[in-house]
Amino acid sequence: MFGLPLETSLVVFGFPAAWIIYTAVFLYRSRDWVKDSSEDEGS
Amino acid sequence: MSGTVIFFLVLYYVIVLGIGYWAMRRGAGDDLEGYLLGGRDVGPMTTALTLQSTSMSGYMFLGAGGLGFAQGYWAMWFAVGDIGGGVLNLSIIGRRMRKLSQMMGALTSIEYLEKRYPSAAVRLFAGVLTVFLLGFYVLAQFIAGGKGMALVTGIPYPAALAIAVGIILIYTFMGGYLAVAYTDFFQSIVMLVGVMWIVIAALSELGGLTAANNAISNVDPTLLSMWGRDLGFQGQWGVVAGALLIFSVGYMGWPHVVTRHMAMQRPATARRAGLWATLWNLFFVPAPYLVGILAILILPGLDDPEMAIFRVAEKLLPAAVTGLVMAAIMAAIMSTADSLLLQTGSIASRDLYERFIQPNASERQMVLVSRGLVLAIAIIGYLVALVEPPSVFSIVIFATSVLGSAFLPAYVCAVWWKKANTPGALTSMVTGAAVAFAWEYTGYVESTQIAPMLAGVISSTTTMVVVSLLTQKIAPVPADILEIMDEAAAIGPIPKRLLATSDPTLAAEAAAVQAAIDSGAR
Repeated sequence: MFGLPLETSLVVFGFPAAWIIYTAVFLYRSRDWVKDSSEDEGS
Repeated sequence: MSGTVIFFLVLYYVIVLGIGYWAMRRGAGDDLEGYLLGGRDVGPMTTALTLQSTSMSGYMFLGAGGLGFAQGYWAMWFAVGDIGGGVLNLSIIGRRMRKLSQMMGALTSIEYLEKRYPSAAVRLFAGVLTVFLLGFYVLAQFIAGGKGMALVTGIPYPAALAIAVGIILIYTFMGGYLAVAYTDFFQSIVMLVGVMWIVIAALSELGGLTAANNAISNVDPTLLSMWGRDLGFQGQWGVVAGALLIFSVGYMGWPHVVTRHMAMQRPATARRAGLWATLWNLFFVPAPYLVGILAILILPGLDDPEMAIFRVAEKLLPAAVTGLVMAAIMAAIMSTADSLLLQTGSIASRDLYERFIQPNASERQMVLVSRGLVLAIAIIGYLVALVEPPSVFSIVIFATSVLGSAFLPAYVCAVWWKKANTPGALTSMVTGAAVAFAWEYTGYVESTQIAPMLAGVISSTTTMVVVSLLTQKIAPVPADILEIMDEAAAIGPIPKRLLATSDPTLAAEAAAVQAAIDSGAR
């Protein structure tokens, strides 16, 4: 890809792809964190 | 350098100072929590960009470009780890550290450690180590800033250094954390635009990425491999792991970076901040390394690899855009330097002066002491920078490796492991710092092919686990800390009783409630 050896392509494009997936999973799994937000009204 | 370039630099400084002034008018410096943490009112995008721009120092424009020029695609090991550093930090410790620090009433990242691992020794060791290392780190930024300014403007280095330090000082003084956070936000945008402009210009010059890579292959095909020029790093997995770790996992051990979690508007701010951090990193982080790689073709006779980005910009861009790029480089240096200066001053004043020298200092006095110390550190830094230590970036790598090694397990276990106790944390910090330091200066990197950061983190983590488990009976984690750790882990608002007993901003309310209870009992 782009004139790079396969191994280099896997690292250069694979890691960023993995971080995008990690971020998406993080956003999905943390969707209930908004319930923390009303702390000033805590009981 | 042309007048156009200088015009853009001056414009940049004026905007930065204007933002600092605006932050001051917002009243950010009125009390200690406002000065040190921006009143815990920083939103997701600003949190993400101050986190990232503080982490990305002048190294990104000088060291990263130089590494790409010297070693080709091997340099990308650093970039691909770095891209995930922000979201990793925010997702693992962001939310819990925000909650825990508020429940404990901690205003600095070192005070936070003492309250989580109750012991004066924890604060003393962590405070002294951090002030020492951040002092070195800020010194390196001063030198880089002074050199960059001298190169851009043509004025002598001592005067250029004085201007760079002076501007950083002025806006750090004006609004404390909030001024730093908002100027970081602006500077991160300048950094991104500046570096993307060079990438586009370089790729246009070379006919696109595929054509450029084919041309590099003709120069030396090993530069396209992930093992460096002449495959010099082939099979050195310890060095590769260190390159991946230092700017990804390593961030979680940097006290001046994790402070950003404590200043978030609310715990959930970490979510969207994580998204912004990844987006910004995807575009910004690989770019300086790539420009360095492309400079192999654009500037084949370049004698100083660290000047690769400066020289590519100079060669390919019109004067106005070069001015923007120079502003971006100064932004990278200054956005780190201001954060380091504020954190060094804060830790020295609150964690060392107030904690061990003048316990009864008022909040107003503390702000003044913090500002006085920032000034003192800047003057000392300026004087030492004039002498000019031999290598700026070896200092940066040394400081960040030791910081990460010493504090990574302490910060991560503080929120995730209820058995992490005071002896475990203290010995972990001492061991991590000592091993990383020794690894760097006794030649173990060459003989073991393991990076100091990796050796340090493995040592400090092992020490934390072993010592904590061995000392559970003699030094159990106090019940009140276990309770607030449970509360930090739980989803939902922090109960008011926990806020009222620990949050300094609610101290008056807590006293009134207590008085009412007392009078009722009588």
